[in-house]
Amino acid sequence: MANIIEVKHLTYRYQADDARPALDDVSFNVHAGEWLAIVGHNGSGKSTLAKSLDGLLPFTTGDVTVGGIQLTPATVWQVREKIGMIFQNPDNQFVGATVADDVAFGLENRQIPRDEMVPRVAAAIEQVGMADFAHREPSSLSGGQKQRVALAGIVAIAPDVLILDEATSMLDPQGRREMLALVRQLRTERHLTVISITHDIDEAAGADRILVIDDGRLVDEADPATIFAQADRLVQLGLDVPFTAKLKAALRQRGIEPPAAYQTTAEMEEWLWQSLSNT
Amino acid sequence: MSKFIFGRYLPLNSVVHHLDPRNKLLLSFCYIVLVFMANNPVSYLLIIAFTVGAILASKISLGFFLRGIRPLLWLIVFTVVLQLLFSPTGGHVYFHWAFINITQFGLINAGYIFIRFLLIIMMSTLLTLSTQPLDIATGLASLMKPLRWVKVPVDTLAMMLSIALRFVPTLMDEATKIMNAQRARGVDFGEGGLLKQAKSLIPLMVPLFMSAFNRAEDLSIAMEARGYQDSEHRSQYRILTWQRRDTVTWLIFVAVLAAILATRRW
Amino acid sequence: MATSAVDDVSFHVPDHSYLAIVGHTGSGKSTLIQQINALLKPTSGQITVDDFTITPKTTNADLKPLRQHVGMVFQFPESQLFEETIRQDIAFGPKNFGMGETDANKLADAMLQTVGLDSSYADRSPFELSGGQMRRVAIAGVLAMRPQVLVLDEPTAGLDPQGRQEMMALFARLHREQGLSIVLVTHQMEDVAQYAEQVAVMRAGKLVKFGTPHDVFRDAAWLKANQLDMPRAAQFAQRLADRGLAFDRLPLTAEQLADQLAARWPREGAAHV
Repeated sequence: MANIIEVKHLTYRYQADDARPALDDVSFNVHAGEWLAIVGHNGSGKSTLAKSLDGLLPFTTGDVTVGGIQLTPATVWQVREKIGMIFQNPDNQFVGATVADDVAFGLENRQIPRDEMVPRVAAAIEQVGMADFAHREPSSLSGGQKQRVALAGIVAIAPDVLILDEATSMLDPQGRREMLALVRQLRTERHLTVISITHDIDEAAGADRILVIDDGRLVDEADPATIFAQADRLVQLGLDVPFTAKLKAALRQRGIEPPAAYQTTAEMEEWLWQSLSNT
Repeated sequence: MSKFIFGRYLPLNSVVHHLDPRNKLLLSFCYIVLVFMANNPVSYLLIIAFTVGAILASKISLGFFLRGIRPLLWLIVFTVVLQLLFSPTGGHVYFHWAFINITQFGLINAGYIFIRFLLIIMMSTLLTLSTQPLDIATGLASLMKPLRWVKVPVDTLAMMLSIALRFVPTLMDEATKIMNAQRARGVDFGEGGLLKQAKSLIPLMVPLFMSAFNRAEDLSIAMEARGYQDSEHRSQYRILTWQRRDTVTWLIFVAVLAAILATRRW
Repeated sequence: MATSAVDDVSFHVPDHSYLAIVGHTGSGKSTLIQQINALLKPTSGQITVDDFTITPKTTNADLKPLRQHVGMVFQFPESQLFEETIRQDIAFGPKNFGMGETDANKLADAMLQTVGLDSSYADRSPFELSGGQMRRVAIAGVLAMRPQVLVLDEPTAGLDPQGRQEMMALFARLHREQGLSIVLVTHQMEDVAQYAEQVAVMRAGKLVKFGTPHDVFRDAAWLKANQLDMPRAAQFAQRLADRGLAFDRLPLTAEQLADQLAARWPREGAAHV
C-alpha cells in the first residue's frame, strides 16, 4: 500500500535547551486510506506529533513527507492543503460567526471565488447533517454539533488526510458516537486517511493500526489485536484496556486461565459460552 | 442591566432589518449631520417625523424604545441643565445669580439640545437593534476599504472585530462559570465596600484572562491549520448587496434634507 | 411561558452516601446540582442539606455556612485557579470562610497531600502545572473548606485513563475514610456501576428513576428508551444471558461478572480431560 505520510527520525523540543525532547526520534509511515490510531497518556507527545505533521510546530530534526511533498517552511501551505485537522475543544476552533461562515473560512483562506464557495459550503453542511443550523451562531450549538461543523469545514476543503486530535474527548457519549459514525461515513465516501489521537479504547479498537507513544518515543506499532494482547503493558503506560482484557484479568485472579490472545467481545462471549456449556 | 437596550440586537423581519448595513451606517452618520442642521421648530418636526417613521418601519414598538432610553435620561437631563445654566446670554433674563443666567435663548437652546440628544440616541439604538453586530462590523470594514490606500490594515481589523464578537458569548459563559466556582469558594461578588468589591474581581479576572489567552492560542493554531495566512489575501463568503430598498431610503433622506434646508433659518 | 430546567424533582439521600446523577446533556443535571449549594435557588420547593434549608426566599447572607458545607467541583475546575502560589490558592476558600492565614496555609499543605501532590508544589505557581495536576489543586481548594458534601460535575472529563482512575479512587477514598457524602454527575456508566450507592436518572428536567445502580441498570429496554448506556460488564452479561446463561443478579462490573463466572466454572478434573 502506498504511504501518504512518511515520518523519519522526527525530534522536537519546545525549548532548544530542553533536556528531554517532546518527540524523540520518531519514525513511522501512514498508509493511504488507513485508519491509524495514536494512543499515549496526556503529555506523552501525541498531540505534538499531530501538530508536527501539519507544520504547526517547527520540528528541529527529521523529515516529514506528506503526499510526496517534503515538509519545509516553503511547502508548509501545500502540505496543509492535504491535511484537515480537528482539535479537542469545539469552541476554540469555531472561527466564523455562524455555521455557514465557519465552514467557508477555509475556502476564503484559499481565495476560492464566492460563486464556487456558496454551493460547496451548502453541500458540506448538508453532508454533516447540519443544514437546519446553517445560520445558527456557535453559542446555540452543542459541543457535538460544533465538531460536526468543524468536519463540514474539512469536507469543504476535501483534503486527503483527516487528523482528529482528541476531537471527541470533550463530547458526551452520544455526541462521541455520532461524530465517529460520521467520520467513518466520510472516510468511505471520500477515501480519507484518518489519523485519530485518542484515549477512547473503543475508538482505537476500530482502527487498522495503533501507534503507542510514551515520553515522546514511539514504543509500539501494530494492529489492535496485537496491541491489546499486552494489556499489562498498556496499563503500565497509563492507558485503558479493552473490556475483554479487564475481564480476563479478573478471571485469572480467580484461577481461571483464558486464552492469551486478544479476543473481541463476540469472541470472548463465544469462548465463555463454550467453556461453561461443555460441562 | 437587561433594561439597557442600546447595543442589543432584536431579530425581526422588517425592511429596516434587511437594509444593507453599509447603508444604515452611512444613513446614521448623515442623520446626525441632519439633526445639527435643524434649527427651528418646523425642521425639528420634520426630523421627528422621519425618525418615528423609521422606527415604525422596523416593527420595533415605540414603547420599547422609550423604555430603553429611560436609563440614559439622567445623562441627557444633566447635559441639558448644564446648557441651560451656562449658555450664552440673550433674550429675556428669567433668573440671575452670580455667573448663572437662565435666559430665554438659553431655554430654547436647552430644549433643542434635549431633542437632538434624544433623536440621535433613538436612531443609533435603531441601528443596533435592527443590525447584527457582525453585520455592523462587516459594513464598517467595507466602508473603510479606501483606507487600504493609506496602509490601514482594514481586513485584519475586520477579522479581529469579527472574532471578538464571535467570542463574546463564549467568554460570558466562561465568566458565569468562574463566578459560580468562586462563589462556591466563599466569594461575595457585588457585596461590601468598593475596595472589597474590587478585590473580589481578582478571582474572576485572572482565570478569565488565562482562559482567553488559552483560547486565543488554540484558535490561532486552528486558523493556521485551516489555511489562514493573512487577512488581505482571502475571498469573502459574506457579502453585502445594495438593493433597491437601500436606494429608496436615500430618496426619502434627500427629500427630508431638502425640506430642512428650505425651512432652516439661515 | 418559560420552561423549567428542573421540574418537580423530589428525592432523599441519606448521610454519607454516594449518589450519581446521570442523564442526557441538557437533562437538568447541572441545574439540579447548583441548587444543592444555592448557586441557583428554586422557584418553588425546597432543598434541605443537613441543617440547612433553601427556599425561594433564602437570602445570600444565609448561604455562607451552606456553601462551606457543600463543596462544589465544577467541570474543568482548573479554570478557577488564580493565586500566585498553589498554597495560596488552596487556602483561598478557608480564608473566605474566616480562617486565619497560618491555619489556612497549614490546611492547604495537608490538602495538597490528600490529592496526591507532595509539598514541593506548595510554593509553585498553579499555572506551571499539567492539566491533571491543576485539577488536583483545584479539588484540594474545595476540600480545604472541609465540606461534608462534595458535588462533582464530570470530574474526570479531559483526563487520560490513568488520571481518570486515580481521580475516581481519590473520591472513593474520601467517601470511605472521611465519610464525605458524594454527589457525582457523570456520563461514565462504568464509574456509576463501580462507585455509586444511589443513582438518580434525569430526563428533560424530571427525575425519571431513583434507586441503586442495580435497580437502574437491570432494565435494558428502559435504558435504551432513555438513551443511557449500560456498563460494559452488564452488556456483556446480558449477551450471555440471552444465550441462556442465567445470572442470579446482573453483574455491573468486570469483577462482579468474573465472580459469577468463577462460581459456575467447571471444577478441574470434573470436566472431560
